[in-house]
Amino acid sequence: MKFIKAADAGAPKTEEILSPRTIIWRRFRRNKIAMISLYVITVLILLAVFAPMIAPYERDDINLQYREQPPSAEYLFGTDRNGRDLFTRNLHGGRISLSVGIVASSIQMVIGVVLGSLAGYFGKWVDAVIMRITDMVLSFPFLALAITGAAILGPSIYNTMIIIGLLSWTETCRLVRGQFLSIKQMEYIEATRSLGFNEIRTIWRHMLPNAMAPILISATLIMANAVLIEAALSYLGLGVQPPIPSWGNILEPARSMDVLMRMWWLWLPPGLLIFISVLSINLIGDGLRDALDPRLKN
Amino acid sequence: MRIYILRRLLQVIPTLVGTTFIIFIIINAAPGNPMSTLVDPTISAEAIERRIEQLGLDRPLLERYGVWLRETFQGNLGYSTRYRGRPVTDIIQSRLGPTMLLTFSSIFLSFIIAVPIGVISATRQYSKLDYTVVVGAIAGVSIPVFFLGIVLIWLFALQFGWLPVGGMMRAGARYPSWFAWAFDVLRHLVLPLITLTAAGTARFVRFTRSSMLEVVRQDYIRTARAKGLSERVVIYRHALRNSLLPVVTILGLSLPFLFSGAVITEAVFAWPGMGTLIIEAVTTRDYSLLMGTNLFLAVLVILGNLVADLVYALIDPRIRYD
Repeated sequence: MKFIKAADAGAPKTEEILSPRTIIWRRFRRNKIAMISLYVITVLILLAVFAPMIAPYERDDINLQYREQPPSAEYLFGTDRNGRDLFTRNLHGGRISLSVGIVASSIQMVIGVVLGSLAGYFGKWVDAVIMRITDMVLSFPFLALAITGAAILGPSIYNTMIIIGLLSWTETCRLVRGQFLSIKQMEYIEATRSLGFNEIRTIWRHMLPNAMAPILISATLIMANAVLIEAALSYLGLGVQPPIPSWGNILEPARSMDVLMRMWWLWLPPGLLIFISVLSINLIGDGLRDALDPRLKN
Repeated sequence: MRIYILRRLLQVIPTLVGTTFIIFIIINAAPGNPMSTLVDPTISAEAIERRIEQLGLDRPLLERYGVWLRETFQGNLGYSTRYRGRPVTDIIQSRLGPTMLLTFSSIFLSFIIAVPIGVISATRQYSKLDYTVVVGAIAGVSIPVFFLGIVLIWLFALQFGWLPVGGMMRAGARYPSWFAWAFDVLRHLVLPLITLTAAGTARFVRFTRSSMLEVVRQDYIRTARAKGLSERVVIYRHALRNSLLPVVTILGLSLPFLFSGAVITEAVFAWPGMGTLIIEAVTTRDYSLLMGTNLFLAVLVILGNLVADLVYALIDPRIRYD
């Protein structure tokens, strides 16, 4: 019962039965930085979801009369070289950038969890083959291969999601494998075997939930990374293609020194937005690690 | 020990084969064939057909992979279309120097900055300082590399005019002495180096800190303290040495990350290395060059990991070689 007391120091003395989720949440809530990050990312996600309603203009509306306008009351973030409202485009850009992050990290999670649990559960040659594949993918400089893949498949939102997903599952795979190797030795897994459960059910219902904590932590970190990579690819013109805006491709014109020099409002806000969202996701991941790691109980 | 080295060396073979195969498959997934961009459009379809047959482009995939692999092992990576038939190996050679200069000075610099910060932060776990370091390191890995580069260019090159905006030396400059040349390269190196080092330092700080925290909890550290050694000796003599061991592996594992960072840093600063070469190859659809650069970087990473593993085995007597 020491566990409950430690997590719940200020509570009344009557024994309160807490679910693990409540304990984790209470621990997470005490971490101020992680909580602020959670608020920030929630706001950013809400802005992205409701972008069409919040945005003062149409996303791709070109107004050549008002090109390259600095920020003003009318155009909060100024306008770009085609006279499109940058506040609107940054709102919509968040929609794209954050969805790429979420979808790409979901793709990698599915691949990583499936391969990792196969390797960890079945061991032997299955493990050997999967670990060799993991080594191969790990030995590619991520961005070089992502650029190559984007160029071959043709740059688009979906290809960006797929490429990032296909290249970033290795960490999850190794993690799940490691977890499975140790969980496999537990008595409750032996119990499932003696009860005659089939293996898929054992993996899915009994092993995976117990391996979930580290997977979740690494998923947040990988998602932060996915947002960064999408931004880098789009900045290089190999990710999301205009007129669809993403935070990365709004910045793209700043590759020209002239634009960089004259139009700070073009590159500063999307750059900061990427930074802030990636930072919050990373800090949430860090807070989750502290909340979930039983070694850091106190 | 010998068996461990041998086994580790043998492990490289399937990885290399698999890696080359992945690259081959990806490049072959490109739409069209090399002929569609190479030849004069007025040439008849039959002539193109004949040429494709001559070049063996109609053979099955595995056969072509075999031929390509054989040539690659003989040091022939094909010829660039963008550089008018220059051998790819030649071009890579000319770009290798700048990339190595950038990445290795960045590794060196991040290491030197990160280790003391990580150690100090770990010895004062949960202090204000430690907190700042942890959050700062997370911030460091959260900045988009290209955005940091842009901000630096804007500030130090465009606003203040202290440093050049990009490239590795002044265009068309002739240097009176070797020293003047080195100084100019150094001036061009400053901003890309800071950009690349920021993220690297942040990563290494986190590794050093967690590795140090791990070591400080060990029994032999308690023993050292119990012996009455001063805290300085305990930390810097006993703990630091052991906590730096895994950092060797991390250095090896960080190579792909560093090269990735270098690709984008080079792109931002027009640094004439492998990164800009890949982007050039992509934008001009120069497939041999693209294949060559990807292959080269991948092999470099595999060898880097191999060296890191072997060095680790050499310096850590606790590793069992079964």
